[in-house]
Amino acid sequence: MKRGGWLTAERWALGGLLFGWLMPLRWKLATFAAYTSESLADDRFAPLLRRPETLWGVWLPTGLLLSVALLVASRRLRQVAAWVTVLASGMLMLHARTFAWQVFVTSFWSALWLGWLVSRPVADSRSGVAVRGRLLAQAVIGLVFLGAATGKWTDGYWSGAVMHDLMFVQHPAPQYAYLRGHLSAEQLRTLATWYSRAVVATESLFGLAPFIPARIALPGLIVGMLGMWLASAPGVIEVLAPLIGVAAAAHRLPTHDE
Amino acid sequence: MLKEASGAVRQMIERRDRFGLALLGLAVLGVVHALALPLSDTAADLNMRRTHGRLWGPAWAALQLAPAMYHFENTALVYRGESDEAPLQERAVNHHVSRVVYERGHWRGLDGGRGCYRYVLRSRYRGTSLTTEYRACRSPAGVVVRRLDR
Repeated sequence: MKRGGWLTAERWALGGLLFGWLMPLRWKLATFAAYTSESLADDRFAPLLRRPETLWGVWLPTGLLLSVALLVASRRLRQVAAWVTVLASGMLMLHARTFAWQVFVTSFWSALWLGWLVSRPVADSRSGVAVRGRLLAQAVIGLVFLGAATGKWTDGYWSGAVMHDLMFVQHPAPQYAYLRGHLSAEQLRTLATWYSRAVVATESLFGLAPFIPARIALPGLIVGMLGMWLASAPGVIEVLAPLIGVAAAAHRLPTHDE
Repeated sequence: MLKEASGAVRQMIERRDRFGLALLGLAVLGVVHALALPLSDTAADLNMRRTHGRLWGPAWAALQLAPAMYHFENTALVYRGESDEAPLQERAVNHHVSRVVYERGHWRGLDGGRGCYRYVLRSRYRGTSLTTEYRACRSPAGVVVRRLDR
């Protein structure tokens, strides 16, 4: 069986992981550099999970490995990259400085999916892998968005009050700064309400992805996530990129046996 | 609607795709966890304790696999030293509210960020709420963080 189709799919997933892992590059480098010059004493975290060296020692080699695995057509290397990313994401999810970074949550789940894909035996049929890979991709993406949605099923999010404070009042992204300069307080509050409701409804809908036929769900998820990025803060792309990579990879999986 | 999904699961079983079944099982666990939030005050409290850094280490680590994008209605009030006067800052916080104590960017604007600060972290979710206090002292040598309510 030719593996060309799988290689393209695996590269889509790798590309998404790599983009999310490194971007925004200057900001991540500056942030980690700032932590390097400030020690942290706190018994909540084990010493290894508060040291800045751990951040550098996990994040940088993983980024380099993902880059090489994307460029070199070696399945073994892609397998190693997937498993290293699972471990690295898991570790950074527990680090004192990065435990709240949702990019490592989406990277963890996306790398697990890639780990499944790159470990399919060569003898496995293309159509079989496509059918299973698509369900698993939809399940992983659906889980992430359902998890995000249920945390917002509150009056504060439905009324827009929370998003108003988080995004429209205090977020430094250019589109919010522009809106603050051009809309009245009342208009801003109304916009926040509809923005917040759209977010809650979209994430809840994405949570149903496993139950929607893949030919509709996967392109829909990709378009929807790109739309979320455009409508939200630019930095959100780091969280979405691994999931976009998985959706694109699952969509590109070859469906015909040769 | 479910035909495609059930066909894929059947294939996983027939082809003994243990990895696929395990990944699907883990995702189903995640879905159960996500749906427990609005259905159970205990689940909401547990997850709130997770985002406040008040959960037993291994349980906290396990729950870290669950997404928490813009979870709960969170606010952080930051006071100078032991003062109970008007807070230096009051802001909404996304994801994990306790991040404000640890992350660069969240202490900018606090008189240059040096000295001791008291953080009052509050979260609400439907019928559940939680308040946690931290103290963080910053100097050129580093930062010392301690949770106050224990």
